[in-house]
Amino acid sequence: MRYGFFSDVHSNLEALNAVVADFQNEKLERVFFLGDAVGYGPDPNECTSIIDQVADVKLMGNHDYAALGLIETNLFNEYAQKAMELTKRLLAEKSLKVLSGFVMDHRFDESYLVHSTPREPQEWNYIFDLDDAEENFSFFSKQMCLIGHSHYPVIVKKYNDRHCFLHQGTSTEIEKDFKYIINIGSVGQPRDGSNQACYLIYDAKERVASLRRLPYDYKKTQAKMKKRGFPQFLIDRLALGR
Amino acid sequence: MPEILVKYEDKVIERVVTQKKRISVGRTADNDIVLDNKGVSRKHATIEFDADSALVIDNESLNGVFVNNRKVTEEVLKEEDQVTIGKFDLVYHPDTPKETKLAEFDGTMVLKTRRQRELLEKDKQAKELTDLAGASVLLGEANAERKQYALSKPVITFGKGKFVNVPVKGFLVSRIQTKIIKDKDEFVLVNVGRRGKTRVNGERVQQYRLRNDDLIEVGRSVFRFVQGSDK
Repeated sequence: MRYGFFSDVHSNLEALNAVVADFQNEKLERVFFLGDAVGYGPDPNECTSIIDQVADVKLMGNHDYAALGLIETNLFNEYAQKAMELTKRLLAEKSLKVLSGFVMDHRFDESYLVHSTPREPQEWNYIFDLDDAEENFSFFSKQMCLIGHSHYPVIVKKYNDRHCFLHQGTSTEIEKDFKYIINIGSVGQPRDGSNQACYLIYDAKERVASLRRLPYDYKKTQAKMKKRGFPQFLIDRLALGR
Repeated sequence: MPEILVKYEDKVIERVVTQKKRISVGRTADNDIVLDNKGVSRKHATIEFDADSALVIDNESLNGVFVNNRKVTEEVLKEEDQVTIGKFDLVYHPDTPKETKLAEFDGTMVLKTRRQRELLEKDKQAKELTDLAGASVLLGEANAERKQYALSKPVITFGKGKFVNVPVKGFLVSRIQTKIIKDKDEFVLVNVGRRGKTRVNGERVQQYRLRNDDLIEVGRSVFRFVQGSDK
């Protein structure tokens, strides 16, 4: 059994299409969406609709939450605020209905899924370093916690009660006596220095979790963003992956 | 920065990246690398780091230290050398970038990590303190007569004299050792005493423009500067 986990699409249709095509090539049994369908990008309705069709489980992200008016955007940085204004103008009633069906967290097999942190899913905090990771390990009982939110794919391991550490590499065996926090990266706005869309495949038989990268036509996305008046900073960062 | 991979039954169970010059390895929790196993002594070994090498020293442990399967009392470690202690292996890498970053610090949301919450709480307390005092404040941290001093005058004096605003301790401290002079919205710290010393954040200073949270030492007395919104 192989499963896909994807997150932070942020209305980037070109990146989402590349990832969905890959789901089919990889013959994934089920796919799970970890939040932030909208915000930042030009195609919120198209992305919401595709996510609704392909994902078996859909989690709420802070941008989805904001689009539904459930948090104030004054907690967002200036670019995210501007993008959220545009997103709200573009979003159709049908898309809002889909977003409102998203859930805060989900438990599946050996994994706990949440957009931000297991400690306080609705606070939308970040796991920035190993200290943040360390304190979050006690807030889930499954062996793996899969998250999104920071757009920075990483694998953190913890052996019993030892200090957690950063796994070197983009793939890991899920071993007995270890717990894992895996940030599955972002489909639509990667920030780790690569401009390729990112998602995670978990092979339950082999017990291996692997981050995948896929190139997509970001120039097409950038052109649409420009036309729809998105901030230049958000347009530029798609090429840079930062 | 040097890195030690801690392995147990051939699995990496921890990565220790350290800035310390010397680390301790042993069974008890007060060691830098804890190896919880009966074959490991309480203070089993020490590892000392140089610019590009390391030295492992056996602290006369019961079961010994092995480097690449040879028993040693002291041994210089090279890249990828394996130190065996009890059932554990420690693998040495001389220079690894300290990769503890798990995200870029530019998320969408206003930061609310644990440290951010602590900073916000500290900032809130400082604001309450300075609002109450109606001025910037010095907090007595060590060898101070009072817990806090409001900086509400144009000049505040520190020393051993009778009429100073802030009495301080220390053998070489002058009658007036240090002054804080208000300069518009800012405060300038000036060392005026001959023999005693004034330090800010551990560095000796003659004249220094204070910033919030600076640690001021005059002789043996220590104060923290909390900037208010003095206008």
